[in-house]
Amino acid sequence: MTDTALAATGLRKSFGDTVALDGLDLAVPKGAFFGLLGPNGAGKSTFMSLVTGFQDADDGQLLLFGEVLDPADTAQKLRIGFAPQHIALYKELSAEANLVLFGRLYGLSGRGLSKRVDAVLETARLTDRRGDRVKTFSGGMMRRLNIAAALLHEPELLLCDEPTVGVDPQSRNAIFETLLELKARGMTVIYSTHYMEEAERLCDRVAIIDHGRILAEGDIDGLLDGLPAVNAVRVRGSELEEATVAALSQFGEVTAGERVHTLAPGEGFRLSRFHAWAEGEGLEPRDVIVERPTLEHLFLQLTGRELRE
Amino acid sequence: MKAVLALLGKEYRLFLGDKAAILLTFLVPFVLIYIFGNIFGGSGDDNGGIGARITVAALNASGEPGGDAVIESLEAEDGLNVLRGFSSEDGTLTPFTTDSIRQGIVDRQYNFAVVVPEDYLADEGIGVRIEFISNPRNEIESQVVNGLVQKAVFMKLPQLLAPQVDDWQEANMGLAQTAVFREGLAELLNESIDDPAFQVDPDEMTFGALLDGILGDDVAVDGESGDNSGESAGDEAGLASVFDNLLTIREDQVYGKEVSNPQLTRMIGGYALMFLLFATTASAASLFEERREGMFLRLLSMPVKRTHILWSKYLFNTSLGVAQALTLFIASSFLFDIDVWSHFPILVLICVLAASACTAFGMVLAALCSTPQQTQGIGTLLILGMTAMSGAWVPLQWMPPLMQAIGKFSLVYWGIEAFRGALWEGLGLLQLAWPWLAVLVAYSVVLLGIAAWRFRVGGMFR
Repeated sequence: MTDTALAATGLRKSFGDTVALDGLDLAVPKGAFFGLLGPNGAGKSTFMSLVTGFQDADDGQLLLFGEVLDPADTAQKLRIGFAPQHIALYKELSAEANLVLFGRLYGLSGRGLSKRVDAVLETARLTDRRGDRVKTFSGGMMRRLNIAAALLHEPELLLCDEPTVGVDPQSRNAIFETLLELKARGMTVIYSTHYMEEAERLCDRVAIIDHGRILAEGDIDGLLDGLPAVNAVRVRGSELEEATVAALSQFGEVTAGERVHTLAPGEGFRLSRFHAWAEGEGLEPRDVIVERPTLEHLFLQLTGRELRE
Repeated sequence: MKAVLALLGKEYRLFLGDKAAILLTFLVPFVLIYIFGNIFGGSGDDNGGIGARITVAALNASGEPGGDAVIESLEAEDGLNVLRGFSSEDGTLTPFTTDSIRQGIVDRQYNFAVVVPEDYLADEGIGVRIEFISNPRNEIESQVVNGLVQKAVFMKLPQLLAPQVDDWQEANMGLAQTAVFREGLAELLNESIDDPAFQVDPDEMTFGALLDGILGDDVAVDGESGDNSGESAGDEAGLASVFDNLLTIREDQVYGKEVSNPQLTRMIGGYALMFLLFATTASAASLFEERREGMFLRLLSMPVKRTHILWSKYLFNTSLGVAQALTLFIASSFLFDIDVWSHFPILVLICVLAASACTAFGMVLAALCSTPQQTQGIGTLLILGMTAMSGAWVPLQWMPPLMQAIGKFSLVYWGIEAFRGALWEGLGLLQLAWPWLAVLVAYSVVLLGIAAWRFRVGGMFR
């Protein structure tokens, strides 16, 4: 028995001269909510397409629950659920008709199929709209149904490729709740996104991918441990005395803005020492905002700030 | 106005950025004018607008020189390719007999035959009988051949009639009076025609000899016989009846005699094929929509293979095509009295095979093209080209030999031939199985194979 749901070793995939995956190594533990983070074109969707068998890898190996992944192996496919980035639904059909179709393709039939359709409609909070054509749904409802279709056969591993693109906050929240319920039930989820706050909220492990390679992998706290404890300190106040600003610069580089000075902590910065100094300077605690490092900081540090086309 | 110009500029930029669209924009009219120009007589041949020759089998069963003259006259027609017998592979020619020449039409080796029968002379009065055996599976072609055959016969009518005129004269005037008449006529002619080369021997003065002297072998005498008969009719009512049977063409239509709406019956197969091709090509283009919506990504993540997707598309489009084609035929039976019901089982089979081949064609297009627009553009070009070159609109034999040969590579040609075979000629499964139905099956198999291969290595499922 393996503890790894999915493992990739030396995975390579190119499209012409474009290298999409460049020797990718990855291990997703069973039961993990695993975030796959990367900018556009990093290789996330290509990785998903290899796992789902849509494309073949040029080189490398994928193991699904310890077995070499074979795209032709029906039993293996039944262990995977996939919610693609596109809303891959037949929009002229009703929600129920879509689910019945996909359920049949997963090998379900009869009462078993009906039960599963009811269950996933409930999970997606779409029971009352089951008979409506998908084209009448809002973007958020379509997204929820898109995920629901991947859950019909009760997969052990769920792949979600940017499932919240273009949805309103309420729908996003509903999707999060659905996914967290699945996590609570022990399902392994691989969640591809470039929204860092989503990964922080949902994932217990993440991998940052760029140019087809894993740049960092681990639990979020562990990854953030590698960063300074404080990312920045903002001191509010439009009329800080010059002496105060000069004293502030002993802690690092200071940038003056409109009604705020931002301190980028220097080497050896200690928060306790800074708080003591602020108190001595008579700064109000509410005017001192300590910005902790986030996954986004780590992400930008690793992937750079250049625009990706 | 600025907004219009800005938007117009955008249209041109988008167009110029699409190389396939540019190519199609200029390629389509070029190819279409090439095809239609050739079809409608622009090949430069001066043979009445006919690009190539229509095959006509000919037999002089009478053995008379006049019969040979008629066949030679047919052979002189640019628009006709006259066969005098069946050619074997080693080049030997087996001359036609009265039975075998008809059988050639039954066997669909050619569609027209002219026979100068043994009893080609009219039993009463003066006249000749010609047999015209046909399978008028194409209206235009039939009319052209009919006209050319009549022209050829009329040109040689004096030669055909000569012995009969002489016999008639001797029988009606008596030998003595005839001799006096001929002698007098000869002298009169010799005196009147101031040409030393033209001298008629009074002792040999028959109508045939006179014609030989006047006409030789190669002189065209369009309408001469008609004029003669007209004058005679005006002069003496009794004599007019002599020419009542001047030319009798005994028509023997081998196929389609009982067809109630010949014109549409012959054409409907072409319309059905063209309709099927447009419908199935448009339907195959829906593959692009599914790809764009990420449907294949989802489906292939399930226990579904590419072949499952392709088979489902193929079966759906084929069944839809069959339903549409049958609707077309059934509607034509109610609206235009096309006899669909007598041939319904074989018609259904042809619809299935034709729809299958057309669907496979559409899928190949979708597999080879990278956008639905390309599929539609190239599809339109190919469908119009194939239909035009397959004999759907004008007879295949009107086209230059190269286009005829290309046309026979088109699935439309084989589909049309199968539909005509069933509806016009009333052929059954065994008669149509080879080669028509077999070729349609082969088209489906080959085109589906190409489509499957292209879908495997191409971008549709990537």
